[in-house]
Amino acid sequence: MCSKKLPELLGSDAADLMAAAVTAVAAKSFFAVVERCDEPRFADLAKEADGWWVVSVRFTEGDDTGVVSCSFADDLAFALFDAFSGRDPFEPPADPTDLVDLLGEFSNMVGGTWLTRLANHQTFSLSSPQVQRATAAPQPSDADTRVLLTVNDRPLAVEIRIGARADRRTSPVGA
Amino acid sequence: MRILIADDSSMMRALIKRVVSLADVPVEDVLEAGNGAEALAILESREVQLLLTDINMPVMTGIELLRQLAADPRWRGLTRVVISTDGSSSRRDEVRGLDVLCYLEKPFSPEVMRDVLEEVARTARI
Repeated sequence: MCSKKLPELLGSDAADLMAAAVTAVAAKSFFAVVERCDEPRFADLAKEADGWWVVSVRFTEGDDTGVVSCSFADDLAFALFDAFSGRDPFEPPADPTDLVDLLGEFSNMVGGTWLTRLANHQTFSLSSPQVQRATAAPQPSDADTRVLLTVNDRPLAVEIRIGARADRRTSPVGA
Repeated sequence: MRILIADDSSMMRALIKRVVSLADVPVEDVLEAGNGAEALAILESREVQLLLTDINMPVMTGIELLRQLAADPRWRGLTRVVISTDGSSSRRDEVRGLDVLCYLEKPFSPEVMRDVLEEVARTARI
């Protein structure tokens, strides 16, 4: 059995594994296409966002704790809701409670899939997702791993913090 | 067949319910619980043939629920399927001794979920 601790596993492929995890979740449950993107393109796309939903899922794996945070541009959040629920465009818009639930589930699946691929030999537990609103786009931060993506051409930022950095994560970036 | 879905996400329960309705399985009723304790309360009061349960849930996790069910002979006839984001080999090993027929990893495509349901209904003869 592999005895490596989570911080030791957070090498350069942690970001690749996270991108793969988001791709799997988006494709299987949301019928969406994911691409990696760089900071300049992310900043360009972020300018068009009216607001952001920041979802944090805390995890415990063995002695290690951490947080996976997903920042969704507003229109991406609503598009994911429509894809998951099968909502007709002529129906009333997503109920905020259902939208929060859905974004939490997306982030939960992303975190779970990433942890499964990163350290398959260890069980983990995930806390209930914490969802917050932010007006500003997520900026480069002190995260251990930061992955910028587009989902159907809309911006999504995923950040991973381990240990003490996760404990300091008390409010969303840009909130 | 009466099905009980235990998951703390109402959106995920709705998705599973939708897939159940599209699968070729005889469904009489689909019940919902937001955690293991709610699921246990429903099982105490209603006859259920198939339990679809998440693992990471507040109040009572899916593992705690499955342990209680495995320890009580009253639930011997209940078919149990886990649907979880935790696809680790350790977690799969953990539930192997808890009378779980099938372990489905989230995210899943609706087609895979439908195939699993139809296979479960055939295997368990429900």
